[in-house]
Amino acid sequence: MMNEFIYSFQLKNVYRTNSFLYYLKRFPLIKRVIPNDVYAKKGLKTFAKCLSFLYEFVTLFIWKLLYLYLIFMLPSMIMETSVDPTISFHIFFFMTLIGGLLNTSILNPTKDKYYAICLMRMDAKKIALSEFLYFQFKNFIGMAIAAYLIQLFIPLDLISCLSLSILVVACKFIFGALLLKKSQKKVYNENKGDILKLALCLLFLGAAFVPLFFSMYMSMSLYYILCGIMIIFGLLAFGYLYKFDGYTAIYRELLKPENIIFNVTQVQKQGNKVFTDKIEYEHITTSKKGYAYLNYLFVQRHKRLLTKTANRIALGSLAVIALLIVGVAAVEPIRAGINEYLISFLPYSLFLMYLINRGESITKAMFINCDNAMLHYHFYRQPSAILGMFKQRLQSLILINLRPAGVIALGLTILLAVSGGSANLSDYVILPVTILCLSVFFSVHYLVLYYLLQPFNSEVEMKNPFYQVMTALTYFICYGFMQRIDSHYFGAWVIGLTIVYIILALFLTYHLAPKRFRLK
Amino acid sequence: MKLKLEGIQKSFDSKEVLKNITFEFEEGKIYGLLGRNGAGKTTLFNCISEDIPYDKGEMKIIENDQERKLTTDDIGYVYSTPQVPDFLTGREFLNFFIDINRSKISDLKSIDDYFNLVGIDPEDRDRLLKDYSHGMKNKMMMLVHIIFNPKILLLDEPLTSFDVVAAAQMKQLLKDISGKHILIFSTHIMELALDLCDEIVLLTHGELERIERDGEDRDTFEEKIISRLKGEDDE
Repeated sequence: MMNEFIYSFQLKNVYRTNSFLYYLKRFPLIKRVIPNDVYAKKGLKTFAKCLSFLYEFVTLFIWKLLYLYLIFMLPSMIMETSVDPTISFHIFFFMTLIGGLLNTSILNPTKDKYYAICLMRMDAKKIALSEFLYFQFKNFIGMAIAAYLIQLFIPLDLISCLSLSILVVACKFIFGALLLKKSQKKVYNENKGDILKLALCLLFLGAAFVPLFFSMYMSMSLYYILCGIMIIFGLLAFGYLYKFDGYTAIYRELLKPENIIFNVTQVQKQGNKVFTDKIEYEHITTSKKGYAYLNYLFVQRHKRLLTKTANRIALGSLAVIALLIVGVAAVEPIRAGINEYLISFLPYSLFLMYLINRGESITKAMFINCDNAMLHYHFYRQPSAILGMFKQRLQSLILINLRPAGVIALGLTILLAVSGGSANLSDYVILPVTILCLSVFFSVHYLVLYYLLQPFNSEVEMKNPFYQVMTALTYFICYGFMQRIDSHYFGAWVIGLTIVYIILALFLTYHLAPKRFRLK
Repeated sequence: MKLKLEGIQKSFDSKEVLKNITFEFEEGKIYGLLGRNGAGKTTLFNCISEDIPYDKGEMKIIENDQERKLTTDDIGYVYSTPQVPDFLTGREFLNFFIDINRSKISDLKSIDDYFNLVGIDPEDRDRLLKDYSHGMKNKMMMLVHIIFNPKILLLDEPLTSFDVVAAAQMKQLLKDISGKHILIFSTHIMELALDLCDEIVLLTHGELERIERDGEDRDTFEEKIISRLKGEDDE
């Protein structure tokens, strides 16, 4: 078994080293100094190998450290007083059960296993056990290092520290054996969810946290008794795993190519299929022509993504606002609270409008289902075509997004009036106009980003990191405004800035998109 | 009419793919472009169709002894992987295409006539393109180029996805339209190249080379082509 382990470890190492070099070659600036025959350069390979070992070592404990930090240190920090560490052991016990259930590694169809067992024709049992034991060894050591680091900050004795590592490993052994036994009837794939798994996870999650609300948690003695039981069952499970003989049959089923994620492109292809599946067929007749015709058909065939979702958000908003109006009419404290909140609501509306605008997924559908193919045709790459289509799309996007925005704008204004109104009459204008402006702003923003930075290549791989930076920045800016700022001040600025932004963005698009809207 | 390529060069990083492409293609002929994997056939097509810019050289059209620059309207490029918008039906796609390019299309026929031309059955004409087979998508892509009627048609492995009947139909169609066009046909299938093409052009060492058939029989000519292509390895 040692030989299989060494071979499989070497295989993984070569793969990791080459992947590292591959990513290095794609990195802006660095790629210029990396030679084309990088995979044949011994020095660079050794460097990559060292880095991959370092990566393996750091990832051994870094996530576990974060996990223990959350369980042992965060409760005290949130409560601003020291919390009994026994609570943390209680949570840890049940969370470990969840971890064991979700990830034992033995029934995880990885590409490493596929290469070793299916391509290199290595013995399935030996590979399975060597990989499983190595994974558990890493779990044990990683958890021990993390526990050692945590006990520097909070007093934990050696036994309790050790119990963390032992419990994790015992749990993986037990669930590994149980799932393997279950797989004899129907092969279990760890990467796929099922109802029983979800139900058990919820049960364990409930057991971890619900009793805490009633100040109930297991004592340390009960924790140690449970650990002891887990160790005994863990040893029995290890015996079962070692004697089990059906690995070959199970892996033949488990390691089918469709179960394995080989590369990012495959994930993207699956993601693309989600968008292609969103196309709904219905017979459409229209007198529209040219790009208006193309855009009209696009909108009609993507109703679920475009109009239906917008309508649903609009209806949902209507229901919430109607409820609030009833609440305001019936209960005095709600009336006063809502009135005060509405006046200071505007900064939050930025994040709200950000959330309900799905410009990013709509532009992705535009690319995958339409532009990826159409940009292969000369006529579609002509400036008049690009701008013609842009204009049509912008109109549609603005009108669709204005449906929920209109309901929210009008609804909140009515709510402001019925909840006691505002002394400042301009509130009745600033509140709805800001919301409508923000809706138009996001429609323009995403479409302009798409046309100016067109981030995909024909394989729908993201080729423009700047696009990702811009969308992330959009999120952080919107999130950053979630605080109490003077509403009038905010509203006036938003209206002014969005109008300036829209004019500027359209100007840039008309000048730059014909050159930039290309397949990467 | 002739398509004249003069000293076309294209490199990716330090790899020179097209070193010195100099060639004249003539109207009325089907050219079979052959080359080993990675020889640069698709790169050459991408350069001619202006999908990617080339580093050096000139591309011209010679018409009535007058030289002029090659424009995008002169070129139609049928990709090896067909590219059609999934959300439209076959009929809607043609409708849109004709609508946009109406002023540039001469001798416009009805949409059903066009479908008949490439053998797309009436029951398939109003189905979404995403549900078309690879071969049917390929027919659609070829069809829009036939409608647009550019002077030069570049075809990158276009017949490989067709069944035998469809391939025979498409071959005949290409022969029919070849009279007033320059067709450049890239393929790995020797039989197809010899059956369909009037001239065989090899892309080796980043250059184009015409292979003359000096009265040789088919087998000898085939061997001659293969030995030229193999020569690339021997050097």
